[in-house]
Amino acid sequence: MAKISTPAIMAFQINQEKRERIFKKKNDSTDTVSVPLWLESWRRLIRRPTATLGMIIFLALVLMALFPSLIAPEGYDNQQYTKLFQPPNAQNIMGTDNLGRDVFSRVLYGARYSMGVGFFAVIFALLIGGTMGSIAAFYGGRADSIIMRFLDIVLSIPSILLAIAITSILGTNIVNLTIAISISSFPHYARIVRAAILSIKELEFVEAARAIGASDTRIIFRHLLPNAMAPIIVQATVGLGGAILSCAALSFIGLGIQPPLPEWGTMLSAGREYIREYWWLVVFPGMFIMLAIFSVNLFGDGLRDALDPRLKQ
Amino acid sequence: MKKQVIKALSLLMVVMLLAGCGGQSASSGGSAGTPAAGGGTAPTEGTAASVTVEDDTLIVALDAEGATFDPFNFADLDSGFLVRAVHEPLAYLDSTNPDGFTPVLAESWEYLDNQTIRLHLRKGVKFQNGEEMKASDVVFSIKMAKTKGLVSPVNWKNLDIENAKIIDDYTLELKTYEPSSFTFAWLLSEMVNIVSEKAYTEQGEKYGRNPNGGTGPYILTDWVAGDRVTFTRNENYWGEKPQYKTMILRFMVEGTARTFAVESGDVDVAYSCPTADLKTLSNLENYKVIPQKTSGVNYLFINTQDKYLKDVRVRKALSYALDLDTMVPIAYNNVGKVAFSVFGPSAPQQIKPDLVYKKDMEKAKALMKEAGYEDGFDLKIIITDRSARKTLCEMMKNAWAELNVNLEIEVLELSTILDLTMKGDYQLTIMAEGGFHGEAWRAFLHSDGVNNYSHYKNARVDELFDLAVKTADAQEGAKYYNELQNICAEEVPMLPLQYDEILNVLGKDLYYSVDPTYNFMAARFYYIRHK
Repeated sequence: MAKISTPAIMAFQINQEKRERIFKKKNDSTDTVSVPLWLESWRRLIRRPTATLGMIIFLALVLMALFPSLIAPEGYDNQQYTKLFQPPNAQNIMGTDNLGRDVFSRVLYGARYSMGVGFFAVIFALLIGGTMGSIAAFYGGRADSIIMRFLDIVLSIPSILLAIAITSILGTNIVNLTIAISISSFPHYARIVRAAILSIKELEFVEAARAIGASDTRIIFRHLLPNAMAPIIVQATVGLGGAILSCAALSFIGLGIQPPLPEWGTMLSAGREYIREYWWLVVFPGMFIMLAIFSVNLFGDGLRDALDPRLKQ
Repeated sequence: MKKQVIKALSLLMVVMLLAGCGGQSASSGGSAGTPAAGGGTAPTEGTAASVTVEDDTLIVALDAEGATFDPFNFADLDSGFLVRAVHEPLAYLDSTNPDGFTPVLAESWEYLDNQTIRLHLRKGVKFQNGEEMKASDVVFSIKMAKTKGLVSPVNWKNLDIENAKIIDDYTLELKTYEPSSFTFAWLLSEMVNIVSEKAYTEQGEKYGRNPNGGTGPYILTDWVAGDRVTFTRNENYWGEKPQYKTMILRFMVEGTARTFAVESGDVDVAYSCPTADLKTLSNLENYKVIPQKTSGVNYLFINTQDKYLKDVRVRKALSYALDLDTMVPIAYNNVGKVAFSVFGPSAPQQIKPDLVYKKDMEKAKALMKEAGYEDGFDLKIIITDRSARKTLCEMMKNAWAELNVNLEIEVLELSTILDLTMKGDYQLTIMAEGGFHGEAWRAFLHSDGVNNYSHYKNARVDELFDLAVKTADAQEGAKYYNELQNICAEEVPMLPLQYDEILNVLGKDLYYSVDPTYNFMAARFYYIRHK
């Protein structure tokens, strides 16, 4: 434990001042009307048209993933052998596939798997990486060296290769796919969290918390992490795009979600055989993969700018 | 200034995009030029696809690269392509010939009794190292094939090679331990390629890379790993020489790459093109598509020791629930035939059994009810990553859902699947197997069969295999095999799904000078002639 030389209350006040100095430097309006940080970031976010566009597309995809049955005209495995390979038409707006299934419905249901796996992979990666990063940053010294060298080793393995290795060992299903993607990406989160925490762990509010006898866990989870959230959120958003892409890539090479579940990468993989004759089998799932990643990236970029105090006008 | 930068950047991006699109044709054009440097004129000129006509080079696109030219050390069909370009067997299986074979290095043969065969070898046949083929080389080759036993060791077991008798340089006698109608047929059906004893023993391990001991019509001149092997015509060949002075086998693993190569006129022959490209390939002006029969049969293997599947009523119910006449053409893009018997079309003993499963949901449901599984159960099928198999499984899942059977599909590596099936740690799988004689199915259906994936045990079936192989009378043999096929139809240890075919593409003016009924023959590209 660090030496406690200042009364806790005083330290807390200094901490508040410092915080204001860091996040709201040279700001004249907030002196009188205090606007919460999240609200101000939100305002800055929606002022950017590209970020708003990204957010709208992303939300639409999330709605698709949550309630596909409301929009989809058919089930995802509704095989009709009398109407194979129908080109896009009024009834099947994205055509039908080699088993007569409606491609539009499959793409809608596919959002659930592609984005769901991406989402949970990021959450897991954040949990593992966040914990390791904060432990490394908070305790420093030998713990830091051991954890960071370990992460360096993991980082030196190409992430897609690592994910392939993990899925081939664990077997192919949704849970294992999620685990594989999160394991292959968690070092990035660990690094971000470590850097963020290192930059604030010497501040007085931490010392204050310590002074009133808060445990290490409490300091990390109640004081340090909430204050280091901005870069983590940005990394998570951008990482979501990468995770969706990894999910599609692994499914494309047959290591991800198994048929007949309509994951976008699986659909691409199944359709590539017919690409020359029946373009709609690959164009639409491909388009949705692109849309998902594009929107997440736009949103992530906007979020980064909005959360960056230096870019404040 | 800023505008100019943006303009420059956009231009750069457009250029990059275009370069990306052009990459394909540029690279294939480049590789088409390379063989031209080796021998003759370029196969393509401009964009018009034209097959090599006057030039002396035959270019064949293959789907995989073999590992070795060693005829006794390969287990894969892909090495078979390489081995068969340089080596020859004693005879070929040939359904057009009255006795079922075409003589190659053995000129004729006769059976002295039901355990002895006398072979008369062709005279004056020279190996590529200049030695003349003698009876001792043949005995050596058969001995090597038997010791290595890479192709079906069981079938070699009965051959008593130690007591082979060399009568003179061109005559020899072979014996079996037990009377068998099958062992000699097996020996004559391309299962052993003849090498020069001297060349093979001199080179040892290196023979696989420097095969100079075959009698074949082509001599290996160059092997670029991962890309191609080049052969030159053997001017001392004993038979009718191939028309092309140079033959190049190119390895194009990706199916669409072979289709593209055909479309751009880079190759004269493409082996096993993707069935999904049938329409595209059929529309090409300068090529013809030949659906090539193979010995392969796609089976649904059923683990007969499984908790649910050990009940024959369940196996029958599952079979009755499938509408194979609809499913198979969809899954295999209208290539191949819907299977009816457990024996493949390449087995002369194949019959249409009394029971061929047609979709009958009522019967299927009744059988499930009788077996006490009205409420169904969960099943898992393990398959390799092949689109036709995945599609079949997706359709099975739908069909069996009506019986309340929930099918889970898992895609695994072939080695894992083989491991699990051999251990009996699985429920269902789809695999392709086949053979040229009823006896070949002993491996899958006999309780001691080396590939008894179904773990099927039926004393009568075992007995029938033994009776059939011991009789020299083909009529009597057929009777046993008929009963065997009927039992398998009733008990479904393995459900035949499809008789496989592959799509080979040949230049319009090219043809095989022999009947390439089965895949081994089609793989001997030196029989290709130009009209």
